[in-house]
Amino acid sequence: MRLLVVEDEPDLLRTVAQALREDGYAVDESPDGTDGLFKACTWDYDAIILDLLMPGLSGWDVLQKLRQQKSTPVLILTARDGIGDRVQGLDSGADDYLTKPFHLSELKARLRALIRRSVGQSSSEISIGELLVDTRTKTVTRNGSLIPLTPREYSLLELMAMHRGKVVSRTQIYDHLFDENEDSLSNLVDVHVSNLRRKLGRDFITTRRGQGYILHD
Amino acid sequence: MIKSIRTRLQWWYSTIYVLSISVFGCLVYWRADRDVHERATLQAVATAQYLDVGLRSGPGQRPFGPPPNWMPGGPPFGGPMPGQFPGPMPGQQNGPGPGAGQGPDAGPNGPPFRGPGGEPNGRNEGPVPERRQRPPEELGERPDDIGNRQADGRPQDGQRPSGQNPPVNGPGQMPGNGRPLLPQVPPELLNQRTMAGNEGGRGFDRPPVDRLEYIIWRPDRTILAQYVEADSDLPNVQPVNPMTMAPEVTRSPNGLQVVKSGPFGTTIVVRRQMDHDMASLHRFGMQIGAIAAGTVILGVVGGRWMSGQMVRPIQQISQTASQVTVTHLDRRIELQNLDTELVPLARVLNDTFQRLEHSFQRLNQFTADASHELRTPLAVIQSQVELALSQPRSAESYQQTLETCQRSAERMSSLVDGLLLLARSDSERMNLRLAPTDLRLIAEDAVAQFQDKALSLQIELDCVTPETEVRVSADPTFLGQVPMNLIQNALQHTPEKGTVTVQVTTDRDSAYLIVSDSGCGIAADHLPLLFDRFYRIDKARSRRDGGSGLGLAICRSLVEAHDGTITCESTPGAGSRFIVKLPLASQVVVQADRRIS
Repeated sequence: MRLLVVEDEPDLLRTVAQALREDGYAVDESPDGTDGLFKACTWDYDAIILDLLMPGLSGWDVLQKLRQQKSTPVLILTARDGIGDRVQGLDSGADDYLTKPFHLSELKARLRALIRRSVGQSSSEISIGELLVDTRTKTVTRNGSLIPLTPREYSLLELMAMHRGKVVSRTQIYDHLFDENEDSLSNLVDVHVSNLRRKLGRDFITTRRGQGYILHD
Repeated sequence: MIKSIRTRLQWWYSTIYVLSISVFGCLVYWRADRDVHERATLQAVATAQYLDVGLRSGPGQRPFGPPPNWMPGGPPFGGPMPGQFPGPMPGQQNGPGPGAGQGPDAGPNGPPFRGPGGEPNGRNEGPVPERRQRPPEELGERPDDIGNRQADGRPQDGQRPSGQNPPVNGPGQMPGNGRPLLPQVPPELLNQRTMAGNEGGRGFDRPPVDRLEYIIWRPDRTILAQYVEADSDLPNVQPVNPMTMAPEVTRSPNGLQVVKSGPFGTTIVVRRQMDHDMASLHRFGMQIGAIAAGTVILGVVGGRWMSGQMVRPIQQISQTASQVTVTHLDRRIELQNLDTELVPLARVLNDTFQRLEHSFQRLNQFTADASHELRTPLAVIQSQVELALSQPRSAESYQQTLETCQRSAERMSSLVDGLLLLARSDSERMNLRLAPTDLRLIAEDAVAQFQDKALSLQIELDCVTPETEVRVSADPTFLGQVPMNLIQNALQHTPEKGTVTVQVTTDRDSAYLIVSDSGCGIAADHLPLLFDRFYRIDKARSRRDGGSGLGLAICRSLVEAHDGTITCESTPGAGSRFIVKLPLASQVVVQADRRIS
């Protein structure tokens, strides 16, 4: 899962990005609205964390312009907590609202919910055959026994599981697994896929030549 | 004093209304009253005149001069009255029967009036039956005889108990000439009036009218002729001989009385009742009164309605004004359809609302900004600590976290201080301790504090002060923050190798502290807003440098607390100058404990 954090307070930006990375997300950072809008429109993020009061292009403007193009889930993060702002934020297209100061745990939970909803999933657990993917604890179990995965592998599995039954291209996987700063080779994806197959079983992920991979139900 | 405009208006309106109607009504009634009395008087006087004339002319044709056979003091005044003329109906009144033909004055005196013959016995051609009434057929009608009207004269006077019948004409009337001894009052003079009482069959044809009576007194206080009601007390009233020839009119409760002296010492008394007239007048008065009463109600009701109309625009204004609450400060009173007198008031109110709205907007803005500014460093600390604690970390990581927290805490702290200062200056509780202070020292202190920083930034920081003392009335702790703030700003906005100069000068009345730099300058658009709270030209930069946007606002507050002004001049790209102007100490009254206004 790849996220974008748009926040003009550098310390906060750094902290949030780090926290999310430690949670297994690929995180892009944006210190102002203009840069944030550009990135948001360029890539398909799984969720965007957006600060409202920013110099230059404010969060409102970014949201408005973004909604003309994409329906990425947006969580608004701001110090303003007046009821009017909340309502306006949600009506302008945001999917959730969190006021500063906040708990990182709450931020993470809300992000998980947002992402879940955006793929049409209602529970934080995804069961595929014998496998049970718990998005909360970021673990995979087969019949109750834990399967150890690296964070990258888990992210890949989560991504495939969220889009199970649908073909996910290699580019997509790449885009959702690595953030902008990572200059990885694209065949790293194949490596992770094969690792997953090894750990989970051959038949879980199928290759579609020329198209991508698909995780069956 | 009635406080309500509406009630006052209402009462004034109804009072004026009712007063006018009442005055008018009274006028009308008074006129009617006068008319009635005038008419009655005229009638009575005319009757008296007529009788007078008749007396003078006697049975003869000539209306003027005494009749030839009349002698003053003679028989006409001595003889008994042959009959009642035109006294009450023999059968009805107190007069005697047809045969008697005498009125109350019947007595030894004979009829004073005779026919043309004059003498009681021989005045007329024929014998004078003294106590006999002439049968009607004996009487002819001489249309040219004044008073001889009984047959046709009183066709409607059937009820008239008074004599209009031939017997009434008395024995003075001879069949031959048929001329009456005494003139009769023609019916038109009596205006076809019937006697009060209205007995008889003719009563329904005519409305009741007031009666007219008369008595002609002889000089010896006997009645010569009379025409009175049966129950009248007129005969009992002995008239006083009038002094003048003109008729005297008196009013009595019984009605109108006209007393006239007739020829040969007679006294003519005519009395006219006024009962019916007064009754109808009173009815008229009641009608007017009813109308007046109606107008009172109309006045009150109409006044209430009308005053309500007048007052309604005021109420509408109050209503609109009361709708203006904190959440609806954008309401304004509509001027378009408003009455001209209320427009200035509405304008003033609208202006006030405008300023209120503006104030509230600024307050809201300030509160939002302040909360944002405080919450952001809090969020930093919160998330930093949470992250650090989420899993075991390296020592450097913890150190970094702690440093970040410290920075944020400091930032919050300075922000809180700044906010408190501004809050205090807003509510006039700054508690400055003013004392004569040398401005040069304040400037030099501030410069000294920033020398190191200036050096590290490779900026030249100078201080220029005059030789003599520059005395101002100031609290150094507070005023000292001003140059420090300004220098800090200057250092932030000046590139390397630039200069920042702090200068102290004076002119005749004021002291000046000027901080100028060779930095990037400030665009003209920003200058008017520069000293506003939380105003930042470049938000990103000051955020990184830890500025909160309050520095200049605090400077302004402090300077104004010292009775001074602060302004800024700037050329973008070349540099800026911040000028603090303070009154010199000799101008200022030093107070130990001063509150800001």
